[in-house]
Amino acid sequence: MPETSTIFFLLVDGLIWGCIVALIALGLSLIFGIMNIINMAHGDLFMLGAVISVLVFDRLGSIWPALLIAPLILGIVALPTERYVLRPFEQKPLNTLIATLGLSFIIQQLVLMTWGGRPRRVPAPVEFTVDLFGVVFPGYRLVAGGLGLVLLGLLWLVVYKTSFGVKLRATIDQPEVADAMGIDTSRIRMLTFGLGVALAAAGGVLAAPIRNVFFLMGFDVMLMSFIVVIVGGLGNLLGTLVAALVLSGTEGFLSAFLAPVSARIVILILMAAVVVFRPRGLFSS
Amino acid sequence: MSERRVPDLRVTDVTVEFGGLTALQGAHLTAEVGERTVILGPNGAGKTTLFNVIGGTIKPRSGRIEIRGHDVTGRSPRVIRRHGLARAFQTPSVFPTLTVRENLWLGRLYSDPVRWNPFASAHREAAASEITELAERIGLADVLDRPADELSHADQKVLDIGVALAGKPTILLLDEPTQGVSPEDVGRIVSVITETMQDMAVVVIEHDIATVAAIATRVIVLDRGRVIAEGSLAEVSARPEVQEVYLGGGLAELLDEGWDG
Amino acid sequence: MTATETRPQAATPRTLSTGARIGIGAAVVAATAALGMFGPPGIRSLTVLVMILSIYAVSYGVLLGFVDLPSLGQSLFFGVGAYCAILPLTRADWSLWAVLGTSLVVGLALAFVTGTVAVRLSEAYHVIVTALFGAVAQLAADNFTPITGGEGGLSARIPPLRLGPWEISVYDAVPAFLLYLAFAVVAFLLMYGLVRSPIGTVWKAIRDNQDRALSAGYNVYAYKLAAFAIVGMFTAFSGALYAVNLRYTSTEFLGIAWSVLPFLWVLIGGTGTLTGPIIGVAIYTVFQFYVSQLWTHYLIILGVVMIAVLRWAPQGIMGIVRPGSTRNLLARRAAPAAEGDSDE
Repeated sequence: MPETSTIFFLLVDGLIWGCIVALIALGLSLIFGIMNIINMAHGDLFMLGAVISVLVFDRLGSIWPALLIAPLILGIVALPTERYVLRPFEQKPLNTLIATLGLSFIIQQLVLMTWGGRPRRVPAPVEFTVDLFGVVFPGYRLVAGGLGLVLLGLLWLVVYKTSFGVKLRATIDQPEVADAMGIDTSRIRMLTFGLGVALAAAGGVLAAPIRNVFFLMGFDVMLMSFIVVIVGGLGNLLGTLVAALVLSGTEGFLSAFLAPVSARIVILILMAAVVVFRPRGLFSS
Repeated sequence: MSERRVPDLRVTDVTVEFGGLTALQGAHLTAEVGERTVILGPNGAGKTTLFNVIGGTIKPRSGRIEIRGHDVTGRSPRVIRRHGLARAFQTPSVFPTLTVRENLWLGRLYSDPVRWNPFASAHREAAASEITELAERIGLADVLDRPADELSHADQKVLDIGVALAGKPTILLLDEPTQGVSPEDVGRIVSVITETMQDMAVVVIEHDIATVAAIATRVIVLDRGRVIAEGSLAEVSARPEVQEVYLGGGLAELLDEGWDG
Repeated sequence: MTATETRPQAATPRTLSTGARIGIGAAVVAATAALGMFGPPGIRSLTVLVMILSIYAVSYGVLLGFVDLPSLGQSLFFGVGAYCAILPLTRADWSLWAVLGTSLVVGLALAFVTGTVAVRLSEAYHVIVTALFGAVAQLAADNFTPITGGEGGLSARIPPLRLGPWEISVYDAVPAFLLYLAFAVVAFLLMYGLVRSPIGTVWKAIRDNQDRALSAGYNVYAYKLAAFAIVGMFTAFSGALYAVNLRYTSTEFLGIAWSVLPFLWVLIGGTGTLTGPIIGVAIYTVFQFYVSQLWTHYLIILGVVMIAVLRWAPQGIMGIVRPGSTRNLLARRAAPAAEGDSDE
C-alpha cells in the first residue's frame, strides 16, 4: 500500500496533466463539432508546439516566448490549411480521419528527418518547490497547471462571452440555421480550426518541460484525448473538460497502485463502459 | 359497443413532444384486418410522427401502442416487426445496391420459418416463385434483376411497399404511397393497395383526396397533433372543423366529382 | 397491371457469369502457382507476402465494404494472431496446425469480445474506439516485454506441417509457397461464400440502409457482431501466417500502421468487391518493397498516397476499371441518415 503522500502527489499530478490534456481534447472536440473532422494529426500539433518551444529555448534561452509564438505560428498556418486543403474533406469524417492520419505520418517523418529522433528535455523555466499538505511539488508543474487553467478560462470567455463565441456555438449546434441567419459559417469554421490548433500548440509548449520532446510524443496525448472525447462526447465542450480532468486525475491516482500501462487499461475499460451505457458520452443530453 | 375481439392495432392517447413543441396530443386509432384506415391532415399535423411512434422509431411521452393486445409501446422497430407490423416510408426506403429480387427476398426472409437453411433447394424454389409472383402482382416483374437505385421513383415506392408486403405482415403502415408519383402510376399503386392487402390491417397516410376516396374504409383527420374527426370519408368531410382545415372545402368538391379508379 | 412509365433499357450487365468467374479464378491460381514453382526466389517471396496479406485485405474488404464497419483497430487481431503462432513455439512443442488453429480461435473470441462494444457505435466513434483498442493493446504488449519480446520481438523455429503421411516444411521454398497459396485460396473461397450467402445479403442490406433493415426485423447488432468476429478470425489467421513466414513476431504488428494498411489496400483496390483488396495489397506491397529499399522514411509516402487517393480516387482501381462495381462509402456525408420524412 503506497504512502498517502505518494497517492496525493500522483493524483494532483494527474489533475495537472489533465489541464493540459483538456487543451488538446477541447481542440479536437471543437474541430469535430464545427467541421465533423476527426483530426488524427492533432497530437502532432501538440508535438510541434513542444518542438517549437525547444527551438525557442535554444535561440532565446527561455520557453515563455514560445507560449505566444507556437500557437500563433501554427494557428496562422492552420487558417489557409483549413480553407484550401481540408475543405474538400469536410463533413466526411471517415475520409478526413484517414487523410489526417496520412498528414500525421508526414509531419512525424518530417520532424524525424529534420530535427532527429533523439528526445530532448527542456529545463523548467522556474525552479522552486511548493509544499502542499506535506507533499513537495515541483513548482513548474503547478505553474503549468495554472497556466493551463488560465488558457481554459480564456477559452471559456471566448466561447461564452464574445460574439464570435455565440456564432461558434450556433454553428456547432445548428449549422443550417446559423447559415440561414446570416452567420458566415465558413469563416467561423476556419477560425475555429485555427483556435483548436493553437490550443494544441499551447498545450505542447506547457508540456515541454514536463515530458520528453520527440517526434512521437503526440501519441500518448492523443490516446488520452480520444478517450476523453469519447467519454465527454464529441463536440460537447463542457463534457470534454470534465472528462479530461476526471480521467487524468483517476489515472494519476491509479498509477500509485498499478503500472502506468495498467492504469491506462483501466481508463480504457471505463471508457468502454461509458460507450456501452451512454454511447453519446457521459454528459450528453 | 362490445368488442368481439382485441383489435389488431390499437393506439391509445399518444403524446409526443420535441423540445417544447407538442407533435402529438392524445392521438388514438384502431385498425382491424380487412380495413383500410386513412390518416388525413395538413403538413405538420403529426401524421408521420404517429407512424414513427407506432413503428417504434420514437418513444412517446405517454400513451400505448398495442398489437393484438400486446403492449409494444416504445419497443424497437425490430420487435414491432416481430409482432407483425411492417412499414413503408414516405421517401422510398429500399436497399439501393441490391436488386429488386434481393430487396423482396430480404422482406420475405422475415416470414420464412426455414430462414437459416439456404441449402434446402425446395425451400429456395418456393422462395423464388413467391417473390416472382409478388413482383408480378405489384408490377415489378420486368425489373426483378435491376438494382434498386436504378428504378424510377414510382417503382421505388412500389418496391418499398413490396418489401413490407413480402414478409406477410398483419398490419401495414403506408406513408404517402402516392407522393411524387405520376398520375398514371397512382392508379397502379391504388390497385396494389386495394387488391393485395385484403388480409391485412392497412393504415395509410395520404394527402390526395381522390386516392383517399378510392381506398379508405375509414378516415381519421389529424390537425396540430390532435385527432379532430373520424369515421367514413363522407361523414368526416361534412364536418365543419375538417373543412376549415382543408381550405375552401376542397374535400366536398372532389367528392361531388367522384373518383373513377 | 402494367407500368405506365416507360422503363429504360436494361442496364449493362454488372456481373460476370459464374462460369467466367470460376474460369478466371482458376487461371489466376494456376498462374500464381506457376510463378511460385518456376519463378525467381525474389518474386516468389514477394508473392508469398502478398498471398498472406491478401487474407487480411479481403477480410477487411468484407468489413468495410460489405458490412460498413470502418474499423481502424484490426492490427489488434493481426498482432495477436502473430503471437498465437510464435509464442507457443518458443515455449512448448506445439504443432503447426495447433498454433494456426489457436490463432483462429483466439482471433474469433477476441474480436467477439471487443466487437460487443465497438459494433454498437456509429461511424466516427467506431473508428476511434477500435483504434484505441489497438493502441492500448500495443502499449500493454510493449510493457510485458518478458512475454512479448517488445519491439524486438520473438523468434521461433517453425515445425513442419503434417498432412497425413506427408510433411511440408516452411523452410522448403516451393512447398511452403503452395501451402500459403492453398490457405489463401481456401480463405478467399470461404469469405466469398459468406458474402454470397443469405448472411452476406443481410450485411449488404445493413450497409445500404440500416434503418430499413431494422424495420424489416433484422437484428442489425447481431449481424454486425458476427461480421466483426468472423473478420477478426481471418485477420488473426493472416497474422499467424505472416509470423510463420517470417519466423518472427513483434509488438510492432499491433501498431496503428498495420491497422491503416488494410484500409489503404481496400481503398486502392476498391471497396465493395472481394478482388479489389487483393489488387490493392499487391500493388502496395510491391511498391513498398521497392521504395523502402531506397528510402527509410517510406511512411511519408504512405501518408501522401493516403491523402492523394482519398482526394482524387476514392473509388479505387476496381471503381475505375468497372465503374459502379465499387461502393463509394467514403463519399458519404456526415449528416445522420435522415428518414426523409417530413415531421408531419
